[in-house]
Amino acid sequence: MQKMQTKQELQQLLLQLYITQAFDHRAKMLQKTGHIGTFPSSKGQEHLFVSLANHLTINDWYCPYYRDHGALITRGMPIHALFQYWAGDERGNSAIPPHTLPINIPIGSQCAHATGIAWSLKHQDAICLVTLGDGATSKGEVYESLNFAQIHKLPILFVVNNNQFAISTALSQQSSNPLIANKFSNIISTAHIPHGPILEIDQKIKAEITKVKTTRSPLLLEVMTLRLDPHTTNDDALIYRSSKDIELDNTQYPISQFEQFLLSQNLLSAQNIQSIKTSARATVDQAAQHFLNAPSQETNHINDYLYA
Amino acid sequence: MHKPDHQTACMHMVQALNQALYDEMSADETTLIAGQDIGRLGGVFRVTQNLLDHFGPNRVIDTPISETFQAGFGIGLATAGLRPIIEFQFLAFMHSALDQMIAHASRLRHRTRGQLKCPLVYRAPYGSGVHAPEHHSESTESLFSHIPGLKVIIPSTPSLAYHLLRQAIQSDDPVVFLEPTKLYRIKQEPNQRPPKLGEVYIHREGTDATIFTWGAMTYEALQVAKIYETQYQIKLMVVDVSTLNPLDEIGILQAAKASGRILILHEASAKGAVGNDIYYLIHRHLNINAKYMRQLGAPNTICPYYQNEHLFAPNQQSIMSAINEILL
Ligand SMILES: Cc1ncc(C[n+]2csc(CCOP(=O)(O)OP(=O)(O)O)c2C)c(N)n1
Repeated sequence: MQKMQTKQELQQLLLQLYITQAFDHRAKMLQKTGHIGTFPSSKGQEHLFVSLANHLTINDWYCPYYRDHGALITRGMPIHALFQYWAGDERGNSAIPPHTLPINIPIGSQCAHATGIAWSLKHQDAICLVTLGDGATSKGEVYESLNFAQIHKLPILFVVNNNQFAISTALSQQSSNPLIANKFSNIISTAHIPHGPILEIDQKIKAEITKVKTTRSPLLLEVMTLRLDPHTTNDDALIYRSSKDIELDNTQYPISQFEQFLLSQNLLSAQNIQSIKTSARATVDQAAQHFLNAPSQETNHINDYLYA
Repeated sequence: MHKPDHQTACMHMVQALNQALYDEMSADETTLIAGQDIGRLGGVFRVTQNLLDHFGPNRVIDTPISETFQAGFGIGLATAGLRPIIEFQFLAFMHSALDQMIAHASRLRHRTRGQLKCPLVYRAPYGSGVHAPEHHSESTESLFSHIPGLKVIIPSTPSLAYHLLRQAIQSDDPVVFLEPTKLYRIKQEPNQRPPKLGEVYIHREGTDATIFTWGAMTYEALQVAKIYETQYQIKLMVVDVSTLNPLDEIGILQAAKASGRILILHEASAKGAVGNDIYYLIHRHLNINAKYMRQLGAPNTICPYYQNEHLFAPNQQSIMSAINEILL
């Protein structure tokens, strides 16, 4: 770790993590009650997305896939709009933050867009960051993007959220190499961040983002995470994983370990932690109310925005 | 597997497709299936449930997320004498595989002057109704129907799905087999007659007007036909086009002649679409007055996210208005 965070920084990070956690939790509830559709929880991976967003500026581009709730919220996406998006309401996407692409659903395709954006940034200060899952690294467009980015030394960071599953498909059936960073190391510079405490991962992510910013060269960063919920609310992980494995993973929940760390090191008091949690929940509750109370979408919009 | 008495049992389309795969894979050792999450999970819709246990990993292959590869891999398998079935998770994710389908699968027989053939099935769920985010509701069947050499099949009931999938696997041509997700879990009694791949399927006879349709819209058309019969003693013929490429021109013209009043009904937009081909075919050969012909589909725009999906596809009300117009 390069430097100890101030108490204020720790409180801020914890708040962001709790908001992401509360968002996931609330979204799963809203899905059960029929208010939103199929939803991919980011449980176990909240810290990755929060850290990515924290170490970029809003002038850097961010190209998300669909598990990046923490990053989108941190970059300023209104939480009620994110609920709207997952509720199949076009208005959600009208609130995407600056220099941020809309959530990408067709796996891997966002890497080519990000490469195009990075080309446009060659002579600017900003960089482009794109996220993808370990499963996405099987798609041709991903190889094609890495290759091009390296040929032209583009200022781009490809971040692979390696949660070791793509729906039911384990990494061993997905990748010829168990480490995504190694699989691509002949094409592009790569880095790998293993499982670990949230603060350590955060500092490593910061260092890799700084590297891309200073060298203005491409990098693929693999970050090991745990997918603690099923793929989406539609998925039943017990069909392809043992309950024991799932339980074991859940004992490693990074946010719980972070709380323990903060307490044991006397960095924050139990009371302080609790009040941050309460405030995060209140923020998300309020956003959920806003979402639920919003008038439904006009029905005459479906031809809007089709052509310039 | 589902029950062995599948010819008579009331089942839904997922069960029927699963049974068809099981029966065909049992009957023909050269068949095999490849796709994402089709093994242990049984596919995201469970169409391949238990097939891995029965046929093992050499015939039930979980692929990485690689649609273009999957399509081309299937072509290689088929060229080598096997009968692959390639599953795509959703129609929208099959679009990246169009290159392999257009450049290779559809042309292999033609460009080798019959020396090689490409007997394979590309299966995908399609259409609205799953409440998933963007890209899970499209009806782009016409894109595939535009390609000479590709057969395009869409079933509309569980028992048609059963028979048509088996016939598609047995066919010596590459077949795009699209399954309407909206009908996946609706149980229906088996149809009395089996369908024949390449021919229209007449669900209901009638002489007052003829509805040509396919996929999930067939279900809506049948509901409407029942209402017209019981409430107004009006008999609507419901024709499931079912093979969108190549079209069964003779079957379509015969059915059109029966009433001379035509509704062509589909979930997709009519722009550049198969419905227009049917319209033109009937118009050219039967010279029916345009006021007795209607085409009903989605507006030519991007399919709304799921909350407003219902604004997109025709519904019973819009179908009835269209019928009333041609009956006047
Ligand atoms: C091109 C494409 N094919 C298939 C899908 C269906 N699908 C949605 S998520 C998913 C698994 C993705 O796994 P991974 O990239 O590891 O990311 P994770 O969801 O685990 O975060 C699949 C196959 C899709 N969205 N896009």
